Amino acid sequence: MSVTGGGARTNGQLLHEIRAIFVEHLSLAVESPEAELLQSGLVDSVTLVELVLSLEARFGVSLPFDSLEIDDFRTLNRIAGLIERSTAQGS
Amino acid sequence: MTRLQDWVARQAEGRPDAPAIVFGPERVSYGALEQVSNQLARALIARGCRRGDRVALLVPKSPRAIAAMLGVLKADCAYTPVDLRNPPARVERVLEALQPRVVVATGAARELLAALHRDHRLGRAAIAWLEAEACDLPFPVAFTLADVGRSEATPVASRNGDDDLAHILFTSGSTGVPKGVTITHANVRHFVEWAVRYFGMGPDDRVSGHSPLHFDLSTFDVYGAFAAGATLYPVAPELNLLPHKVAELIRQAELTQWFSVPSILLHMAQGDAVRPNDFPALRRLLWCGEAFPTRGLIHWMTRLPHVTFTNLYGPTEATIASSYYRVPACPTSDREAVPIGTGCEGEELLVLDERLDPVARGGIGDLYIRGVGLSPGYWCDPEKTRAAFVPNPHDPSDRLYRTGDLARVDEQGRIVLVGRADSQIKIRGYRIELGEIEAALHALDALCESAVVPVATDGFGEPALACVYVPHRGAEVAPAALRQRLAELLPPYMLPTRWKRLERLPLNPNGKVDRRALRDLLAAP
Repeated sequence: MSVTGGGARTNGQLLHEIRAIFVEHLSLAVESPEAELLQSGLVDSVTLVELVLSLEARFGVSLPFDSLEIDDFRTLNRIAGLIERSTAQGS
Repeated sequence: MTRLQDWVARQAEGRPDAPAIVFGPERVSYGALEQVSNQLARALIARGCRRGDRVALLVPKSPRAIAAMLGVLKADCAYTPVDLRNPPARVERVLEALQPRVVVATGAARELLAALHRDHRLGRAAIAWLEAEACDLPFPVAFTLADVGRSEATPVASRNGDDDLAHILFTSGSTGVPKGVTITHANVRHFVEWAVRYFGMGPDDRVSGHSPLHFDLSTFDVYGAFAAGATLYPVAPELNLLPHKVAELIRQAELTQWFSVPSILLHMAQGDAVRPNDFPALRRLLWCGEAFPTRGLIHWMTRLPHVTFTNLYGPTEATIASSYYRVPACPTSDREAVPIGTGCEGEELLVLDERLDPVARGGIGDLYIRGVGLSPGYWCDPEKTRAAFVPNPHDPSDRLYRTGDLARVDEQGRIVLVGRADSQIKIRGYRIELGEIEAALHALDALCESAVVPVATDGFGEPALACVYVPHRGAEVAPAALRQRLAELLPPYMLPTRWKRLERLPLNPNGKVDRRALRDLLAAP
């Protein structure tokens, strides 16, 4: 697995990779970038931990728990935004 | 005789301006809560609700949902809070069993209600729409929040009493159909009155409302707070996702009592969300629903030396909790199991053998409960009721509830749980019958064989659900696709998160699926 910063990716690639993380690590097929993930219960407290660890490993970013906001995880688009911000901060 | 709604009426009379519920920016006084629930009761009665009728609540956790619970009780009816994360198919089964006179709902249930209405699954139930506006809804509405507001707010002359049902709570059923546990006013009152006295709860208490309203534990959050004249702080479910947000709430609201399943406490420990001497206002921390792994308890107790820690134990069938154990001092070893203690007032826990005779101290037996918390039985299911609630052989007028837990009595006379006699498991406090998940997998007709087993995870020991499956010959199935289809039948907490394909399932000498072998197989690296 390659670990590179998110900055080199297009938004489409980023979404594609995040969606792949959902399939591989959480066995979850997310239908669209705007599909609601939290209220539906698709992502819960345990899967969120796994998701954060997977995002950190895949994109080489640091996502300390006490800096996270619930809104960052509402949709795939929001998660992509979080990764983009974290990459910009890290570089 | 006190009915559950009477506690609010009493506070509204003596301290109408005292805060009953604080939910984010929303503050509801006892006076306002009393008035709104009176108005809702009148609207329900006007709609034809009569003593003994059922009302389903499709309302997310909020002051409005709690006002609706009280309104239903004042209309002499029983309520069932429905988990909105359930797929329509599961809600449908609950409504079919319940035959509610009215379904109370808000905007969050719009999609779910639309699907149920489209498929003609609402039966004769009328919809009470607790939103001010009811424009462009794809289903007919009997009355709205605006209509409720126009009803008279003076006290309603309820006729219900001790033995009337207060609520029916649905839990996972081993045959694939959720079962409804019926709970009377007296069942709840006995526990709540004891707990308020034992814990010394009072009007200056600020109490957490962590559990979902369809979950038995929430009954103590809500009615414990109201019986004590305290303030209830319902916790928005989304906060659970981020442990430091929950810690922030406890700090900012200066909660004095926290009551939850252990999983959120473990999640907070893992996320390092609790600082040394954190939460200075907190007096007591209670947990129920499943065992609190000792490692996690040590983490909490060493950080909060000013707090008392109490383990409560009890299935929904025996109402909130039947036994308690106040942990006297921080355990010194991870291996020390925390006992479930001794019976609450009016409750007795018995460790019995198969002839229902007591097992000698130290020996393992089936755990039974008798006493004032015992539910009258399962909703419309005399067969299941007879199987679980058995006559006490030493007193034919008495009943015993078979918990399905295995236990022993230790040297100090305290009960210690040692496991389950069946395939029920707990995940995040939810009772899960593996049989219900397996029945749903079977219904998909996508697999040749499948079994679901709990497997240990890293960290503080919360298990994950693993599905082991054998596809039909020559067929390929993707776990993500299976999980998605399963989500149409089961709530999210019942969906397996780990999947493993096998050529065939291991069998034990009796020809049954060898679950132990499966667990070993999944535990192997």
